[in-house]
Amino acid sequence: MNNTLDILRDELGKAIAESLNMIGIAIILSIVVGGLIGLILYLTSNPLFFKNKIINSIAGIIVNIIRSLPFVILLVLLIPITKHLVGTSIGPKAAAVPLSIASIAFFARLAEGAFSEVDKGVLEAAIASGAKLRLILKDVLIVEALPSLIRAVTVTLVSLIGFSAMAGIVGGGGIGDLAIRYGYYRYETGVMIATVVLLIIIVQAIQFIGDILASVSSKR
Amino acid sequence: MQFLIELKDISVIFNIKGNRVEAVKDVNLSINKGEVFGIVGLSGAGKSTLVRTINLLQKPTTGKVIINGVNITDLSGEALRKQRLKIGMIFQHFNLISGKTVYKNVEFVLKANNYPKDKRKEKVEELLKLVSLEDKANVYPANLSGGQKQRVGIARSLANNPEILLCDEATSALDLENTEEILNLLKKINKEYGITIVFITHEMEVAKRLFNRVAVMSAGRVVEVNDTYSIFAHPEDKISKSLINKNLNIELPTGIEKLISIGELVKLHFKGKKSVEPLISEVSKKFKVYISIIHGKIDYIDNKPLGILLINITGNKEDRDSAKKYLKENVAEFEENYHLKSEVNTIE
Repeated sequence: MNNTLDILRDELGKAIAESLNMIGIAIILSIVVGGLIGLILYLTSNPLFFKNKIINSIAGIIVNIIRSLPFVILLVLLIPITKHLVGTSIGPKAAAVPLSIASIAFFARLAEGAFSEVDKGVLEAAIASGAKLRLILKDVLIVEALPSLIRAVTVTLVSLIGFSAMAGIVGGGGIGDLAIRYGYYRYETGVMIATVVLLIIIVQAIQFIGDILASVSSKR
Repeated sequence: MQFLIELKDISVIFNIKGNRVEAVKDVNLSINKGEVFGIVGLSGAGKSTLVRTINLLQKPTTGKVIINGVNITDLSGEALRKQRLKIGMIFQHFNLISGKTVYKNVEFVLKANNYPKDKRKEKVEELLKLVSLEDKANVYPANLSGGQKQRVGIARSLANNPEILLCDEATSALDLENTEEILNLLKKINKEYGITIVFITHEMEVAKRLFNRVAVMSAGRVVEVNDTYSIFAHPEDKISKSLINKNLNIELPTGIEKLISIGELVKLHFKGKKSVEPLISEVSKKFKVYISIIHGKIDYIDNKPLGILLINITGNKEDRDSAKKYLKENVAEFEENYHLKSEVNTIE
């Protein structure tokens, strides 16, 4: 028991910081880049905007390829690119690269779905009013898709927490890695239970906050 | 004389899963400035597709859309956007931005026109006042009734002072009371601002109340165009006749025939000035017959009456025949041997 507490005291703070680091970078990039790719997927599939089969298929195939690779494999596969991008292939910053790429692809599909749920009639009305595309995207599409986008961010965050557990492979650390290293490899059941409980609480909290934000933003 | 809107040889062909569907076929229409022009027809007749060609939400496959003498069919990008600013549109399902308040919904259209920021508040308030929704400025659309939503739609469509207002089944999702409210508002807008209204609907009641002229559409074609009174009084096409008969028809409850055991039923159609003449009294005074009125209805279209009367004539055969002869000469249409049963089955 003392051993468990010692390990947690020494390692948990660092693990939480590492998790926040990796997940923070990945979620921000997912929202920006993934959101943009989702928007491109949506705009090129909708006849109201720029229906373009070729661009849509290319973007779709890239997203699908990334999403079909198991995360562990993506992690290893991307090592050369990671090294090039952040200068090292180990540590939380290095783990953030494959994490971001995986979650960008994940969020892109969810964002595309959120956009395509927006009522076509509302968009048509905006087009008929003579508004510029930028205004339609900013004031109609994103406003109407916002509750779904918030839910998509929530889902992405939760799966990022799952993915980040595997970041230990490249020395990324984090809470999940702590559970694997001590709880699994060293049979420290106490550490295992503590970290798992912590993860459950974090996931519940994220889901809870996400649901509240989504319902507040929905004016339907 | 120049028309405000001219549609020339408009056809719209869709390719739905390899099937060629001609939604609109060779339509030619000319719409005058300041009129309320209606397009009626059953659902699937192509009305909605046709009205969407006017602001090019639907590009016609062939044909030209001419507004104020300028061919706009091939406009795109910035030029098309500018043109659309001058054409307002309202929809069956209102299509308001659900995540924005009433105020912001109207403001959006001003933003589309780069309306100066410091003057927007005043303009939005003026528009909301026009549609009597000043007190709802900060309410979200979900908390409004259908009629209120459509009024926001109208305020929004008028924000950039358009010349034309397109109405796509604008009252079809509303109850009678709200329909009334919207029709009155549209009439007011048409009169006070001189905005030309193009209104499509399947509701003949709306046609009767609002339109100056009507085009009847069927299977993608315009089959008849005339002023509203003439369409109702003398429909020529088969489809127009069926649409109008459904609207002007009178229905008797079943079982009524038991009450009418003697005499003969005659249906009279009145049109124009004759509708107000005391024909029934005249007949009962001139001939030895008794007339009872079984059912009747008079509509006023463009302040001109249009009526149907179902009467039962009793008396001996000779008198009845001369009474009928007299009636026949003095009404627009005369139906003898009128059977109650056929009246009950008005749905085709």
